Amino acid sequence: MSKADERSLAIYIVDDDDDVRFGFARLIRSVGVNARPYASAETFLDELVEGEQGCVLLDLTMPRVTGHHALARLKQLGSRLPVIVISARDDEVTRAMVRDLGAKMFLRKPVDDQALLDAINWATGFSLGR
Amino acid sequence: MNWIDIVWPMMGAASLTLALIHLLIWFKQGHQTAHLMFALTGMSVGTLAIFELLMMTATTAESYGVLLRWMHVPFAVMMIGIVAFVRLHLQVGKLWLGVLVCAARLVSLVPDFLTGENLNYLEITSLRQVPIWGGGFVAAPIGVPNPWAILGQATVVLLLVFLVDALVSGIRRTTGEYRRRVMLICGSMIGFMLLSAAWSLAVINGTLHAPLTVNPAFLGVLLAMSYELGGDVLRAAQLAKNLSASEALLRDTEQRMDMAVRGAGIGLWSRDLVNEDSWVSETGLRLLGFAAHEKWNRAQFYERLHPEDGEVLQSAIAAATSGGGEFATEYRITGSDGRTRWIMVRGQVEFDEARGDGIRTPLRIRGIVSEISERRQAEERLRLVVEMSPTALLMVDEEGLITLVNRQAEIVFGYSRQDLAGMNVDTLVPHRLRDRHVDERAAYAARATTRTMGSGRELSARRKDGSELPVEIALSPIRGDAGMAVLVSITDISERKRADRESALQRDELAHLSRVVLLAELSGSLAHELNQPLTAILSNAQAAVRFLAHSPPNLDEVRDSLTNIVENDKRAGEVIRRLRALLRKDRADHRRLDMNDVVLDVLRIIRSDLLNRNVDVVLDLEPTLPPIEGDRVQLQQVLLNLVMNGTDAMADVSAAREITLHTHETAAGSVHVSVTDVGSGIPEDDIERIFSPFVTTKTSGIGLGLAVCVSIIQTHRGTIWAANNPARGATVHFTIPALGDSSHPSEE
Repeated sequence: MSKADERSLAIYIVDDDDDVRFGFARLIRSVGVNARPYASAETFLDELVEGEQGCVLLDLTMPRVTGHHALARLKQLGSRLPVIVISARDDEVTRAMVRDLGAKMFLRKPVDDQALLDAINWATGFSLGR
Repeated sequence: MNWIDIVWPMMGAASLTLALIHLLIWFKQGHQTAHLMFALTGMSVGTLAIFELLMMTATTAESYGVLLRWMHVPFAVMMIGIVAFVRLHLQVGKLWLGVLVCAARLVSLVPDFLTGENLNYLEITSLRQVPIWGGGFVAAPIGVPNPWAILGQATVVLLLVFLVDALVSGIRRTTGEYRRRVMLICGSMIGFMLLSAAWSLAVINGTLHAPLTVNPAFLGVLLAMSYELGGDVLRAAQLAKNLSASEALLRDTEQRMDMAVRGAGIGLWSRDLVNEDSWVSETGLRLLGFAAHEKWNRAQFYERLHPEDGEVLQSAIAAATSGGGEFATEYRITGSDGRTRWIMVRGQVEFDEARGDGIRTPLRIRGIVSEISERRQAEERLRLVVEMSPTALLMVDEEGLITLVNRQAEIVFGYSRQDLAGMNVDTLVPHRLRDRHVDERAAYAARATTRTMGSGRELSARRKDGSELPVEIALSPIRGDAGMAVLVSITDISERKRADRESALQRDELAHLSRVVLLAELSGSLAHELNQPLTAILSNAQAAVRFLAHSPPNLDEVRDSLTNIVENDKRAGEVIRRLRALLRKDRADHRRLDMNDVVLDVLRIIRSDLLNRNVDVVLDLEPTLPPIEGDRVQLQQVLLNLVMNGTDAMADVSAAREITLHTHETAAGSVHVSVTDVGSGIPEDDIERIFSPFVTTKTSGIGLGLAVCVSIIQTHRGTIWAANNPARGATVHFTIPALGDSSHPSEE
C-alpha cells in the first residue's frame, strides 16, 4: 500500500474518556495518520460513511451505547471496517464476547504504541510507524 | 384568902405547863435548843410565881429572907434562858453582852448567899402587911438593904441593853417576816421589863396598892416567847400540810399526764438526783419492756440496757446536769419478753436556787420516754440504702464541707470515711479545674435545682492518690434548718467510657471490614479507573517521542503531550488517594463536609462499574446544601453501599437501568440524601429488617453492608430508612443534621 493511500485513510477512535481518546489520537497523528475521535458510539455510528478506509479503536465501557452495542450495530450494518477493542476490562468472557461480535483484535489498556500500531497494521494491511 | 392566892398559882401552873410542853418538843426534836431554853425560862418563871406567892403569904421575917435568897436562883436561870433564847432562836444580840449578862447574874448569887440575909437585904427586921386593891394584905419586908443589891439591878439593866441591842441590830439586819418576829419578841421583852420597873416604882411610891412582884412581867415575856415558838410549830404544821397537798397534786398531775400521754404511747419518768430514787409511769414501764406484774427496779433497768448504750446514757445525764438542763438520748433495752427496743428519752433537769457562788445543784430530772424502734428501723433501712447504693453519694453543706459519705464514695475516691467527713468537696476536683469548680459551686448555691452537672461535658474527679477518673454527677439541693445542703451522686464512668471506646473501635473495624469487602467487589471498576489515566499517559508519552523524532520535531504536539501526561498523572494519583482513603483503617474523623461532594466522590469511584452494568446515574443535587459534620470515608461507604445495592437490584432489569441520587435540605435543618433505583424492590417482609446485620436479600455478600450503614448514620446523629417506590424499585433515605454555624473546623 502506498504512502498516498495511507494518507487518505482514517483511524476512528471511540472512547468516552477524553484523556484516553486524545492520547490515542495524538499517537495516531504522530505516525502521520488521520485520527478521528468520537466521544460516544452514537456519534460514531451516525457519522459512519460506507466505503471509507481505515480501522476502529473501540472502548467497551461507555454510557448508554456500549462497545458491545456498537460492535453489534456495525455487524448489523455489514460494515467491513476492522474493529480493535481496547479495554481495561480483560477477562475470558469479554474477549470471547467481542470476538463473537466480530472484533479483529482485543487490547488491554494501557496499550503500548508499537502493539497498537502492529494491531492496526495487521487488521488493515497498512504499515504504519515503520 | 384573896385573889393573889388564885392568880399566882395559875401563873405558876401556866408557866410550868408551857415549859413542860416545850421540854417535850425539845425532847422529840433534839436539835431545837430554843425549846429547851424556853422550857428553862418557863420553869424558872413558874418557880418564881411559887416563891412570890410564898413570900407574900410569909408570916415571919426569917422565912421571908430565906425565900427571897432562894428566889434569886430561878431568877438567874430565867435570865440565862432569855439570853440564850434570843441568841439561839432569833440569832441576834451580841454574844459577849449575853455572856456578860449571864455571868454577872451568876456572880450575883455569891453575895446573895454569903452576905446578909440575901442579895436585897443585909437584915430583914420585920414584915408589914400591905393592903392591896381588891381587899386583903400581902407581906412586905422591912430591913437594912444589902449594898450588893446594885449588882443584881445592874444585871437587869445589862439584860435590857442586850435586848435593845438585839432589837436594833435585828431591825437593821433583817427584813420581812423575820424582822417582824425580832421586833415582837425583843420589843415585848423590853416592854414587859420596863412595865415591871414601872410597877415596882408605883408600888414603892404608894400609888399602886399591889404586891412588889416581877412574875407578871416575866410571864408576859414567857407568853411572847411562847407565841413565837408556837408560831414556828404552826408554820411547820402549815408547811407540812401544804407539802402533802402539793405532793398529792403532783401525783395527781403525774397520773393525769400519764393518762393523757398513754394514748400517744409516751411514758413519764422522774429521777431524784439527791436521793437517787426513780419513778416511771405505767406506760413508761410497758415501753421499757417491763411486764405487767413487774415493778420498777433501777438495777434491773441497767441490767437490761444494751451494753453499748450505758455510757451514752450516763454521759447524757452528765451533760444535762452540768449544762443547760436539757436531757435527751436514745438507747436500746431488752424487755422481759426478750425483745430489744429503741427508746428515746427527753427530760429537763430541775435545779435548786442558785447559791452565792452561782453553782446550782441538780435536784431531779423529769421527762418522757417513748419507743422509737420503728423509726430507728426505718432510719437503718434508709441508711443501708444510702450506704449500699452503687452510686457514690456525698452530702455537702453550704460551706462545701462533706457531711455524709457512703461506701461507694470511699471506693471511688480512695479516701476513708473519716478522711472524707468534714473535707472540702473541692479537694475531690483535679487541681487544674479547682478554681472553676469553686466558682461554679457558688453559682449553683445561688439558684439550686435538681440537675445533672455539666451535662454533655466530661467531668473529672480526683482520687486520693492524685489519679483522675471520668465521672457523671447529679446534684439535688436539700433545704433544711441549717441552710442548704446538696446531695451529690457520682457515677464512675471509666468502665462505660472504656466500653464506649471499645464499641467505637469495633464499629470502626466493622466499617473498615465492610469497606474492604465493598472494594473487593469494585476491584474491576477500580482497575478501570486507574487504567484510564495510565493509558492516556502512555499514549501521550509515546506520541511525544515520535513527534520529537520528526524532522523538524513537532514541539507543539510534544508540549501538549506533556501537559496531558501531567494532568493524567494527577488523575491517577487522585484515584489512588481515594482508594487508600477507603482502605484506611482509621478512627472516624468528623469534619465539616458538603454532602454533594461526597456524592460526586462516590460516583467517581463507582463510575466504570455503573457503566459496565449499563446503569445511568441521575443527579438531583441541591446546590445550596448546608454543610454537615461527618467522616468523609464512612459517608462515602454508606453511599457506595446504597448505590451498589441499587445497582444489584437492577441486575435483572432489561429496560433502562437508572440510579437517582438526590440531596436536599429538610425543613428541620437536616441534609436529606436518597438513592432511588428502578429494580426489584424490597420484599415487604424484609423492609423492616434489612438494616439488621447478616440479613441480605442478595445471593452474594455477607449482609453486613446495611447494618454498617445504620451504625455509621447513627454515629452521625442521623436516621436511615427504606421504602419501596410507588412504580418500581426502592429508595433508601438518610438524613444527617446540618451544621448550624461555621465555627467548626473545615476539612482542609
